[in-house]
Parts: sequence; C-alpha cells; structure tokens
Amino acid sequence: MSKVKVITDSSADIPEQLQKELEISVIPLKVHMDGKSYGVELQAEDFYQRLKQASQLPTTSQSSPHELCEEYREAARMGAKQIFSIHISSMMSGTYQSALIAKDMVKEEGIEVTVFDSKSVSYGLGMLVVAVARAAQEGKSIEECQKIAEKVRDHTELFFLVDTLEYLQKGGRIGKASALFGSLLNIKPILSISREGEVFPIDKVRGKNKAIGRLFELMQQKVPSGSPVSVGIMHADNLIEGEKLLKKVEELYDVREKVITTVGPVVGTHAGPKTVAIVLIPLKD
Amino acid sequence: MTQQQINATLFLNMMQAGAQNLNRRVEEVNALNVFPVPDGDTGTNMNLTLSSGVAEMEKHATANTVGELAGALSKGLLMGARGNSGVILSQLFRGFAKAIDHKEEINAIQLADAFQRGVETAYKAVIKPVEGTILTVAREAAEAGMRRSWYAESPAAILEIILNEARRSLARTPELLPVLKQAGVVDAGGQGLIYVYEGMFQALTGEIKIDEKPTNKQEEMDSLASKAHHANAQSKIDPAQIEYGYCTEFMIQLHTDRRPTEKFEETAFRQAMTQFGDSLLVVADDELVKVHIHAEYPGDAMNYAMKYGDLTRIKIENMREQYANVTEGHDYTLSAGTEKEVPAEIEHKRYALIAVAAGTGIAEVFRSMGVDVVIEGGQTMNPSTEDIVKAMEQISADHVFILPNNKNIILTAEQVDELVEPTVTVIPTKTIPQGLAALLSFNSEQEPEENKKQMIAGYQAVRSGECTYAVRDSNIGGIDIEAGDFLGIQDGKIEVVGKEMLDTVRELLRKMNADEADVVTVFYGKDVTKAQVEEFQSKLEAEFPEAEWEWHDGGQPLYYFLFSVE
Repeated sequence: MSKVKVITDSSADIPEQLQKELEISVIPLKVHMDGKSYGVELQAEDFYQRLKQASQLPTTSQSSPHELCEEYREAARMGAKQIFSIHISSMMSGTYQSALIAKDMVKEEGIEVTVFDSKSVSYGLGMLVVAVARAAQEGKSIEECQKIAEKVRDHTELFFLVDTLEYLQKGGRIGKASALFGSLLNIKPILSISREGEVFPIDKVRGKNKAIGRLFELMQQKVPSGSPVSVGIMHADNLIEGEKLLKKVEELYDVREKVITTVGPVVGTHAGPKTVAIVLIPLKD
Repeated sequence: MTQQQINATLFLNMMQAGAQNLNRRVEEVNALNVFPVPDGDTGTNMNLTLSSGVAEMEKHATANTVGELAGALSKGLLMGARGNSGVILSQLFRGFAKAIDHKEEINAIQLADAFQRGVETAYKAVIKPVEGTILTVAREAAEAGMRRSWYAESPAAILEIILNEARRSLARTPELLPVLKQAGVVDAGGQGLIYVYEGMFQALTGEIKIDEKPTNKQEEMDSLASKAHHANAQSKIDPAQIEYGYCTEFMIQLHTDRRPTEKFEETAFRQAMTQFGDSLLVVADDELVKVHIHAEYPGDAMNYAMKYGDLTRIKIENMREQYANVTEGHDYTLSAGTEKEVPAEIEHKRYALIAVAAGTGIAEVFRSMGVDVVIEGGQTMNPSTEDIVKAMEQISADHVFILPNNKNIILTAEQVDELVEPTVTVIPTKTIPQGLAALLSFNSEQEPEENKKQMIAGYQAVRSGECTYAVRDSNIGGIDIEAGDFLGIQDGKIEVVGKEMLDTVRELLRKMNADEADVVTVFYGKDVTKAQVEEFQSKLEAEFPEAEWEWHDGGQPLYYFLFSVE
C-alpha cells in the first residue's frame, strides 16, 4: 500500500523535528535581503539578527511552478502515487497558483497531485499539514486526507499580535487592518485570519498587556475555556512571550497537544520581529 | 405709562434690553462658575446664544406682529446655542416664542403662559434635569407668574412677579446643589437668566432706552450655508470635472399671501432638491428656508422652490469660472465674505466622525485616528450648534458620530440632529481621553447601534486626568484653594491642590491608580516648556514603571497636562 505524500511550503513554520518525523517535504518561498536571495537555509535566529541591521526591509517571493514540479517529480520517483500539496493562503501569496500550474505540468507525466489552499499561514497552515501528514502515515486515502484538511481548516482559530503594523503595511499583507495604520497613538491590534484567508483586525486596544488580555477574551468567545484543544504557539524571536502565552493557554484549556515554533523568515518579513501568535483547534472528545 | 399689551416694537426692545443687560454682566456670570478652573464661560455662552437670537429678530425689525419676531428669535437661538446654559436658555426662549408665534400682541396672561411654555420646552430638552440650576430658577419664576396671571393688571406686573421670584429662587440654589454651597456661590446660569429678565423688565416699564444698534446684519443665516461650505479643504480638481456648475443660494419666504403655495415639509423638500444637484444644505424654520445647492440648472431648483413661497437673497455663482480664476492666481472674493471659493467633491461615506478638541497636537491625533473634522473648541470656547452644523458641510455620510469631549458641549451637539440630513449620534464624551477611547472602539464594519454601544463602553473604561491652575480663591469639598494653585482634576472632579506642578501631577496619577495601569498617555499643553516635559517624563516614568508611557505634544491651552490612564 502506498502512502499519500504530503508537501507544503516554508511559510508553514513546522519545527524541523516534526517535519522529519512525519516525512513532510517543504518547498521554500524566497526571502530577499540586502541583495541576496535565501531559501530554507536561512535560519530564523540569523534572519532576525540581520533584520536589525538591514538597510532595507526584506521582501519575499512565491515558490515557482518549476520548483514545485521538481518536488512532485522527486516524490513520484520515490514511489508516491498520490501527492497532497498544501499551501499558504492564496490571498497572501502566489504559491498556491504556482502549485496549480505545476500540477497541470506533471499531470501529462502521469503524476497525480491534489493542491489545497489552507487559507492560513505559519503554524495555522502547519497544524493543518501535520494533521494531514499523520493521517497519511496511518495510510488514509487522498479523499480522507482532503476531508481532514477541510475539517481542520474550518475549525482552526488563529490570533496574532504584532509589535508594529509597519511590516504588514510595507509588505502589502495588511488586508482590512489598513485602517489602523497611520494612527499617532500606539495601538495594538489583535489580528486574525479570515475564513477567506486574509489578515483582518478583530479588535484594537492600547498597550501590550491589554492586547494579550483581550486576545484571550476573544479566544474564549470562539473556543470555550476548558475545552480539549490542540495548540500551536508561534513567536518571532520572542520565546519568552511565546512561553507565557503557552502557559496561559494551558491554564485555560485542556491541552492535548502543543507545539511551540519560531516564525520563520518568510512570515517574519511580513509580521515583523516580536510577533506572537496562537493557533487553536478544539478537539471533540 | 404701563402698557396693557406688548406689541412687536416693544417685544423687540425687551429682548434687546435683556441681551444688552446680560452682555454687560458676562464676566460677573463667568466668575460664578463653581470650579475655579480657567474656563468659566457660562456667561459668555449665554450671551452668544441670546445675541444670536436677538440679531435674528433685528433682521425683522420692521415686523408688525410679535409672532413674526418670535419666529426669528427662535431660529436665531437654535443656531447660536452653545454651552449647557446657552442651550437651556435657547430652549426657554424657543418655547416662549412658540407660545406666541401667531400673536400680534400679547397681554399679561399670554406673557405668563409663554414663560411657562418655555420652561416645559427646556425641561424636555434636557435628559436629566438638575435642580438648583437655571432650570429651577426659570421654573419657579414661571410658576409664580402663572399663579398670579389671572388678576395681574399688566404685562409689567407679571414680569415683576417673575423677576422677583427668580431672584428668590436663585438665592435658594445653594440649598439644592451642594457643590454651589461649598463654593459659596449661586448658580451662574440662573444669575444670567435674571439679568436677561431684568433687562426685559426695564424695557417694558420704560426705565431704560435701547442702545441704538445697526439693525441690518442679515448675514447670519446666509453665512451658515455659504461660509461653512466654502471653507472646505482646497482639493485640486479639474474644472471640466465639475458636474454641477453653479453654486446656488437662496431663501424661501414661506408664507406669501400673493399666491397660493404648497405646505412646506422639510424632509420631503430636501429629498426633492437632491434631483437638482449636490452639496445640498437646507436650514428651515417656520418662516424661512435657506437653501444652498450646487446645481447645473439653478433655474430648475428655484422654480421648484417657488412652489413653497417667494424667493429672496438669491445668489448664483459659476463655479467653473471661479475655479479658473483661482487657479490663475486671482484672488476671487465671494460677495458675502472674504473666503476663496474652491469647489470640492466630497466623497460620500457610510460613517463620518466629528470631534471637538483644542490644541493642534490633539487635533492631529484625532485626525490620525480617522476623525473627518476636528472642530476647534473645548474648555476655553464652546462651539455653537451652528459651528457644528457648519462642520457637517465638509462631509457627506449616512451616519455621523460626534465626540464633544467636554461636558458643556454635549447638549449643543445633541441639537444638531434636527438641523441636518444624516443621522447624528452624540457619544457623550466629557474629556479628550474619553474621546480617543471611544474612537478606538469605533468599527466602520459595524452597525450604527453596535458602534454606539461599543464606543460608550470604550470611553467608560478610561480614566481622565487634567492639570491646570486656579483662577480665584475658593473652597471645594473642604479643600482651600488659592488663586494660582495647581489643580489635579480626575474625571471632572478636583482631587489634588498643590503649590508645585510636579507634586500635583504625581499625586493625581496616584489617585488615578497609574501604578496599576497598562498604558498612560500624556498630552502636554502649550504652556509647558520642553525642559519641563523632559523632567516630568523621566520622573513620572520612574515612579510608575509598570505602565507603557506615551507622550504627545497636545498644544492645548490652559491645561498643562492631560492624562489618559487605562
């Protein structure tokens, strides 16, 4: 019996250990910084260090259809009969589009690829990929994998706090949060990703502590406290804050599974350093 | 000789005398303000309100009936109302005017009745009437007048009873309002009202003659439409893109006997006028309708308006030509005023936000948070209803939220709704920090009702502090205050009095629980130096290190510091 091969991109921020364990292949999105382009080889710590000295803000670019084709072919060579390719929200990147093109290109070669728009990013995407990869390891069919992906996508709650809106704004990924930019008062928006896959502000408050307090209030409106959950914490060079968030989540919920991960260079370019995020999926008992 | 009837001329004289008497006593009334903060402006506000009413009457100086003058008074008051006491005064005399608006002359009983009707109108206008204020004085005086009206022999006798009872009532105000008693004063608004009544009485009994004043200053209603409109931001637009080329202004005199006319209904009229153009402004009262519109065919608009009455004060300007003049560097001057005519397209939005604020820095912060128009005003100068109506000319929206940011501007702002087309919601913010907090809770994606709820909840969660100085000696809540002392005010209440500004501020912040706050935002005023700001910044941040501090150059007058603690 041949297993479904799961492929994603580097915006998923899945910890390396987990990637290896679940045999997930990761296609790089590119980060361009000070005249050079980087793929997966650029480590997060290194990136945030350089960001402090960078003369210009870095930019990113989508994976090309060619790179995706190569990855699909490689997977087929390794014996995969079915490939499930899950990517960053199509509202944020053209990678999903590239994957659709690549899928058509390899189809003539007899390689079957299912491309899936996660409508999320970072570990919001990562958590979905991990769930599908587990199912694949258990030998679930491509149809079952697709169902799981849809279910996770529709039940994931993601909230994030940026230190400044500057990065979202400069990178053009601000979506409906744009109205907040330009305020002379220091406003902390609580951001989320809509079901359509776009960044939007749920609320805005003054001050970091109030922002965190409000984030948890909003989260409990979506997922009642005490519920069994799987949680992912993301932080951009801000482990201390990330651990505080995790502790708070563990106080509030029955945490069955937890992952704490670093926001990689791709997402870090757009969210900025010190960003923290929580992704939560309620588990039915 | 005692008059049995008050005719038009006498009525005008009475109101002029009332206004003049108040005008002479403005400073005295201002000084009665309970708080010794440098913003005592009850007298100023009442004076400006009543002057606006009387000025409108003077435009109709040749009127033959009391009723015609009453209508003018009512309209002038509505437009000029500012400050709490001013708004209440305007309502008192609007109710008064309404009671006599079809009379040629009025006798003693009708006079007493008019005062009574005024009181009823004013009580209705105020959501939570407070006893021991101008309202009580007006009510008790009017009631005394009513009790005696059936056997009073002349209007003068009635007015004398009213005046005397008003004085007694004023003397009782400290018994009703503890804050007055503590400060050792009577109510300022009530005192202002008595000065008005005194003037009226003197004119009625012939004790004084009215100062001759030029009666032809018929620009006010006119300027309401034109000036505000033309004070718009100067956006560069191509004359070829002007859709409606003629700035058209005229007034309709509603009750012409010359020919039959249709009954005027304001909402329907406004709706109908939109077919002729944009930038429409309609200001109406019972007699007169002021219309301002940018139309491509001004004749059509005027023909339509003719259905309701005769037209007067017609002014039509070709805006394409004017625009060309402006761009060629000619100083184009309007016939009515001195401001330049630059037509601007106003984008229509679902929501618009208006805030009242003093200080350029604070105004900037409001604008950066999405406020469309910031009206200059606040403690030192309360804007009038008309000022806010004018500000509305710069925007086009279905719903307008107004943030008064001062307790004396809330009532004025609430008058606006009946004068303009969009739905107006006043969020009753009393301070700048409250206004900003309300703004933060505004969400353009939400329904108006939900926004109102959120904004109210938002501003209630913030604590406001102010630091200013005392203008006179007084005693508030058992604390002795000397002129020149620094005052720390929390949410409108004087909490700290000190000789040193830094100590006063420090103590105020302690009372506001700044040590437990997440964010403290400071706006420093125009009367503090850079060195002072730096000193305060390092010392206060060290004393309250848990909070996130933000410092802004507010540029506000009189108030050295404003604090928002949340």
